[in-house]
Amino acid sequence: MPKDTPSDVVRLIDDYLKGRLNQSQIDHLWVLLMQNPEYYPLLETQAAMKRMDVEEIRRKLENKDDDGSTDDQEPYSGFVNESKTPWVSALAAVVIIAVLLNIFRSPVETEIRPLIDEIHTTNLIAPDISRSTATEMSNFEQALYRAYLLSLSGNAKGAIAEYEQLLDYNDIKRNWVDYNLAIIYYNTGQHLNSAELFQTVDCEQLDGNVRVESCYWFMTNSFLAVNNLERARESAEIILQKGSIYQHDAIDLVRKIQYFQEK
Amino acid sequence: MDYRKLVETLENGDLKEFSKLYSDAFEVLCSYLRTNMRADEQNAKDCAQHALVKTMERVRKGAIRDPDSIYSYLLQSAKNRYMRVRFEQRRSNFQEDMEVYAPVEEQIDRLAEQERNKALESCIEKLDEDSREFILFWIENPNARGNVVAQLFNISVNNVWTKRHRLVKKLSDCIQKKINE
Repeated sequence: MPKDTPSDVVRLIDDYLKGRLNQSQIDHLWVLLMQNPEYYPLLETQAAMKRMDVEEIRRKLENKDDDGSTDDQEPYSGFVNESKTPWVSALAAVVIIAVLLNIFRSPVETEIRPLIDEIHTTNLIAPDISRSTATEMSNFEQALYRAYLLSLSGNAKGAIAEYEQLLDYNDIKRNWVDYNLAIIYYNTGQHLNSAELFQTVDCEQLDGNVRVESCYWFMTNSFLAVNNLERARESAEIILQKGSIYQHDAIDLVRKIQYFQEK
Repeated sequence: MDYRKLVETLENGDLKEFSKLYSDAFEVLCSYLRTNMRADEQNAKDCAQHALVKTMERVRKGAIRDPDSIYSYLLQSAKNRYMRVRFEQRRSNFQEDMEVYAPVEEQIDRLAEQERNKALESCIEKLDEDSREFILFWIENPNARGNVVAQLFNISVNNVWTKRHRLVKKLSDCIQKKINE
């Protein structure tokens, strides 16, 4: 296989993202990426560039200029060289406040924070659409798939609106809607909605052991986010029984919750 | 993944180097199955692992004669495995005309994850003005010809792609750094 230069790979990726390659050329590109994994992030970056809202960035930059912020530019690096002085001052102020607060506060924490900030979108569930032409997708499945794609592309608002419309359905896949929506609510900081939906999710009905265990782990964190320690403990204990990859975290968490509850 | 390096690490038992080569190929294979064939996370991982293990066995036995074919073999092996898994999962619905590959637009949606998009936005904002305008121009005009871009930004046509690669690389590094923060 001839060695492609980085510029060739960027150009090939560009053609791929413009839909100019047939499947065999696409496969060649992926083989190339496997051979040179350092190029793989370039593909992800260029795909993200395709989904970028340029107007939004320009608006933000204009607002920044209006605020009168000036950045010193470093012409050869390609990146703006930000002055660190304000950050250092801000950090120092935070440290001083933290120290002062610690003098007056009780030495024991008053709540347990969730252990994950965000649930990755690869955990969302989508209907299987590569099926035979003999079995068409139902309206419910189509809407579920639309919502899934919106979530993947980062349009959380659109995805939530789409999923919420499916909450009235009694379809067998309704459990997926509750699960996915609970995840998106969690990621957008709507923890109460997330915890409420996780109460209706039946993790055991999800496909595959990894997914079932992940479901209980996300559920645990969602309950922690609204300080519902009892429910968080219940779901963490299920993780313990299952012996999953989250077991160590769950053991620590259950101990911590016990301590809080006995206090 | 360098074939000779891979064979050497296998023969020398250099587990650290082998593990790096293995996990790089694993990540790309998983991504291929997810984006091109709509595999879910779990199936993608299972099939990529299966393909890698089978390929390593063949490498050990010296059954792969053309070193360059190892990557194509890996990809084909992962694809076949995934098709088999799908066939077994949905035996009753399987037909010859089953749609195997996702359309490119859908593949892009799967590659451009939310976390990465947010990081990219912030990395672009941090670029100096010239570089930022260069990249934003490309995003806004994806079909612009090299000579037009060269004229607009006062650089040679050859430098257009080089500059673009340099900036995409810089943005990739910045995104990675932000995601790992």
